Amino acid sequence: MTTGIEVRIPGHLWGRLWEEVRRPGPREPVVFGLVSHAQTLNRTLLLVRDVIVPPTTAFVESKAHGAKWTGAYNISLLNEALERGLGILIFHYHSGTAQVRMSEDDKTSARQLLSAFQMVAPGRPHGSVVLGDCSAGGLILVPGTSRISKNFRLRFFSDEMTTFPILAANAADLLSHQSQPLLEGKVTRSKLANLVVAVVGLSGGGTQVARHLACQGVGELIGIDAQRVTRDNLLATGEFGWLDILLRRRKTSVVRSQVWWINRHVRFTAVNAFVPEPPTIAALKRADLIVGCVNNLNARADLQEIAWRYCIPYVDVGLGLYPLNPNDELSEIGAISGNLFVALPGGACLWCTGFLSDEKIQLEAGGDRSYLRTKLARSRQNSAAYVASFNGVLASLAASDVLQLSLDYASTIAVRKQFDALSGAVSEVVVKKNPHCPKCSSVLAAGDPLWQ
Amino acid sequence: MTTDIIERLTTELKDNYEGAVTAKDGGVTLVLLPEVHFPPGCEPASAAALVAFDPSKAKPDFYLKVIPAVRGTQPQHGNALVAGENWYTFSYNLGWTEEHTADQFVGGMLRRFA
Repeated sequence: MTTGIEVRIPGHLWGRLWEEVRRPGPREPVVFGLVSHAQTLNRTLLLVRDVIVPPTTAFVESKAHGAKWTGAYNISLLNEALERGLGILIFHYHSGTAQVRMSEDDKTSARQLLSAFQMVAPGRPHGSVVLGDCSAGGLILVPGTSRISKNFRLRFFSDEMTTFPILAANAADLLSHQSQPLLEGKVTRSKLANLVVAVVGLSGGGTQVARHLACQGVGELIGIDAQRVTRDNLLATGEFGWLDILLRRRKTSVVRSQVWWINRHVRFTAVNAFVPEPPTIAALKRADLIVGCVNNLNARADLQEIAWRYCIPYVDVGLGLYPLNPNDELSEIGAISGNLFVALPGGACLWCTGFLSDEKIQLEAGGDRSYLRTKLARSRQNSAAYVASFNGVLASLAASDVLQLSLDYASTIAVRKQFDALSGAVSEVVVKKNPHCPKCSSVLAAGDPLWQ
Repeated sequence: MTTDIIERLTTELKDNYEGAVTAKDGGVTLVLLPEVHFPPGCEPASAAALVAFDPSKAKPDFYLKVIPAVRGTQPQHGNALVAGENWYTFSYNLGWTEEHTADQFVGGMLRRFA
């Protein structure tokens, strides 16, 4: 198992950071990032929580290459980092599409600063990163070691997910991929083969998402579901059969077999646990993308929190059948509505849009008995309904979004899509990030807590 | 709960529980107690606990790593995701106010298993 370091920058911070490090001025611009971190099974994640643009008064004249700032500014920066329990990343920019490297001056000053930062704030990582147009370089010092590492990945989010370094390939392969990213080629295959996708909930939606991802050839598929196949599942997806029920097979076992039949190069990892049990959390933390196909708001809230805390894109899928009269078990169907939400770190989350709220979660947990009756009636209807094809539409949309995020074949991605199964239409619902969303401000890029 | 009260309660917990550590998560102050002891008759006899102080709430939240079996039966409980970790939560209406001590809060919550 390889270990590595990855810097992740949420979208709302990336835009500002990218603009500020390239701002023309009398000296090389420098921007500071305050970072938390998290440990996964195979990686240390550095999660940029805030970006600080130093004032011009912070800088002093320097004969050497690059910018130089005052000791007083260093102290105030360290104080803020300590106060917030975060580390410091220093960002600057070198133009050009070639692989960027730090200059000798940069390296010398970085080594001095990082050691000093670690002495004052040893619990969090520190680093100096040079950003290029298509690459990143630099030095990172993680907690618990004095060895400075120059090997790391950098991932940032905007309307898409971009990871540096871009996979090694010759110019012809890269050009071919840029013009035709959906055609099977060396770069496309490598990008997908390097992807770890967690699918949570292997019933109507999740099983069909898994089939698509296997077909796409993702490197690892983590299937998370604690349940065994039951009769109800046969109407929700075509991926299970009568023998699976007879043999009381676990859903993860069935999906493992399906994935192997489709593409034996896809590694399938089964997690037979619920959200948020420890094996589920450990598996989700190391995923590049999470696809949630769960049937309750509590699990959605947990998935959203994990995705935000560790800066992982979260694709949420859900289908509901809504009777005209919720209190009448024989009521006609009023709507069959599917939702697909793509939450990219730094963009709108399920809380921003009101899809999740404390009130709704409390109601689901049993605060309101009349709501529960409605929910029970609805669940009875759901369990008896033929919804496999509707789930299939949503699963296809979710798998397409995973493909789009990994191959970047379109310039934008619809954050929320709504599927009206009665008309068969899929439409985009325009959503905006809530700048006052309490979940975004408290959880996004929070990483693991710093115990002291 | 004001910042001053949270600070007082946090200090009390750190003084009274060996190895207690704190962390900030968003606006919430967390105190991890490596070992709290359940009343006699519980299995296991002790477990780690987490006390979460949210300034917007009148009382702290209390979580356990393990829900003990009391005379062979495990009381009803739920899962909660706190600061990226799985903890167990249980319902118990403790009459605790800010005038009480942190130790009284933890001791009171553990009486649920007496």
